[in-house]
Order: sequence, then C-alpha cells, then structure tokens
Amino acid sequence: MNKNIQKKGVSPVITSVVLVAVVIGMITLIFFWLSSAMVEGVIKLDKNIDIVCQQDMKLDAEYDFTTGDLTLLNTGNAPIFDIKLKVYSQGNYKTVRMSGIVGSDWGQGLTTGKSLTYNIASNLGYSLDKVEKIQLIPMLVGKNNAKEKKVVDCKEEYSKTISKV
Amino acid sequence: MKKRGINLKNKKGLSIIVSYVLLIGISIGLSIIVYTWMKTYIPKESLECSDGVSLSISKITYEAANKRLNITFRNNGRFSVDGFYIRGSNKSSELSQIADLNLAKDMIILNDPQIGTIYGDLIRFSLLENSFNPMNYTTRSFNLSNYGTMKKIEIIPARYQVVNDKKKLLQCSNSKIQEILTLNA
Repeated sequence: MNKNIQKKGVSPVITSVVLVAVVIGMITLIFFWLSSAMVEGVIKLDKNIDIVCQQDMKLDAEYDFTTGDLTLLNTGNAPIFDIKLKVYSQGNYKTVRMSGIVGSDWGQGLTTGKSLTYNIASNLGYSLDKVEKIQLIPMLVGKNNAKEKKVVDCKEEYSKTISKV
Repeated sequence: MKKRGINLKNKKGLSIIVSYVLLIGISIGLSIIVYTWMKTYIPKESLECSDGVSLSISKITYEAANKRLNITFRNNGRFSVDGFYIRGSNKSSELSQIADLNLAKDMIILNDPQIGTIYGDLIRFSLLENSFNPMNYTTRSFNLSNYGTMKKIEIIPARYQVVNDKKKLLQCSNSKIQEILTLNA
C-alpha cells in the first residue's frame, strides 16, 4: 500500500510537465491560427496607417460623367500611393487602379499638393453612359513591424464617392 | 508522519512562489505586447498648419498681351511661410471646381534669389526655411501663354513646422486663396 503511494508521488511532476507542454503547444497553435486572421499593424508618419487615413489624408476629386475626365487633387499632408476605383453600374461594380490606368506617368503617386486630370473612359469596364457611381479608395504605403513596405487601402469611410446627378 | 507533513508544506510553499513569478512574468509580457500594439492607435498631433498661417494677394495683374500673371503676396498671418502651391483652371471660373493645372513650372525667374526655388509642385520664397515673414511683400510672375485664357487660380501656402518632434513641410489647405482672373489690357 505504502509502495503505491510513493509511486503516485512522482506523477504530479509528470502531470505538471505534460500540462505545461500541452498549454504551450495550444498557445502556439492558436497564435499561428489567429496571426493569419489578424490585421497587421502598418505604421506611416509614426502612427497607425488607419489614423493617417483619417487625419492627414485629404483627397479631392471630380468626375465628368459625359467625357470620362477624372480630376484628382491631394490637399492633405500624406502622399497617396495609389487609388482604387470602384466603378458601379446597374448594381454591379468593377475595380481598377489609377496606377494601372495612368501607367508610368503616375510615378510616385499623388504626392502632397499634386493634381492630375486623366480620361479614364476606356478603362472603366462599362460604357460611359452606364456608369452610375465611382468610389475612390486611397491607398497609402507604410511599414510593418519587420520594416517592410506595405500598401494599405484606407477604410471605405475615408473614401470619396462621386455619383451621377 | 509529522516530519513528512513539514516537508510537503515546504514544497508547496516553493510552488506558490514559482506560480506568482510566472503569473507576474506572463502579465508583464502580455502588457508589453498589448502596449506595443496599441500605442500606434493613440491619436497623435495631425499634420496641419497652425491656425495663424495666412497669405493674401495684395495685387494681381493678368496681362492680355502676353498672358503673364503677376502676383504680389503679403504675409498677413502670424507665422512665416516657406512657399506655396499654385494651380489654375482654364475651363471653369467656378470656385467649387478643382483647379488642376500646376503652374509652378511656369514661374518666371525675376532675380537671383528666385533661382532654384521651384521644387516640383512647390514654389519656395527662398532657399531658406520659412523665409517669408509676417507683414512682408513679394512678387512672383508666371508665363501662362500655353494655357489659353486662365479663368481662376488657387494658392495654398506651405511651411516647415515641428510636428511630433519632427520638422515637416506642411501644405496649409485651410489657408487656401482662390482668385478669379480677368485680363488686363
């Protein structure tokens, strides 16, 4: 009987080791699972890029629905790397990027104070008269924790929408 | 049995200390991770010029013969200004519409201090930082013969300012000047 008790005395150490190992294993698994779903923190101008989109990015835009001329102006103090255009027609939309439309003339993007007028009629994916609305989503460049450059879309609440009157 | 009981108590005492150390260690570790992640979300000073930045146009002439635009600026604000962005529109004189033509490259160099003051879309008043002081006047001229008849211009002042302990060149969109142009004989 006494011998049995002594044998049981070893098991708390083993269970503790197993418990710690299982917990560490589970934490590792959960971390890798969640890290893919978590939004990576991207920094620009020493703050989170979402705050830059809200505070410092200011985009003015006009679109002529008869000619297809799009005029852009950066009136803020954050350079806009690219602009995603969501072109709406009859309940559907297509997405195009300004850098793809303008090509090499886009250069470093819409830097502070820069303005640009470009005819985008042939790049909309819809005939000119079918376009009902264009939503412009600014894209900024920041750096992640590993100091790698990352392009981030500003949230839709900071986008600019131009609708046909 | 008594001796054995004392030994067990001692062992439990040690495990409690270890658990406290682990608990505090994990708490501190988690706090550091959460702080590092959250601190980027704390709103910092936004990149905006001070309220007292203001430029005004004291005299403007748009010559019909050679489409030359002469602007005399006055710094009527409380802060010195570094330069300005100037854009025009030859389509519409409506102030609500964007003036999309960048006119910086059309500036005529009138004297030596103006050489080298055009930086892309920005025109600086001199090569020195924030050189245009309050109550001062200065004139800049532009050759607009390539644009037909210019209908309006927009001018946005810019100045170097320390924001979050870093010096930055800011465009002062809140101090924008708009002017509808009429040709002078």
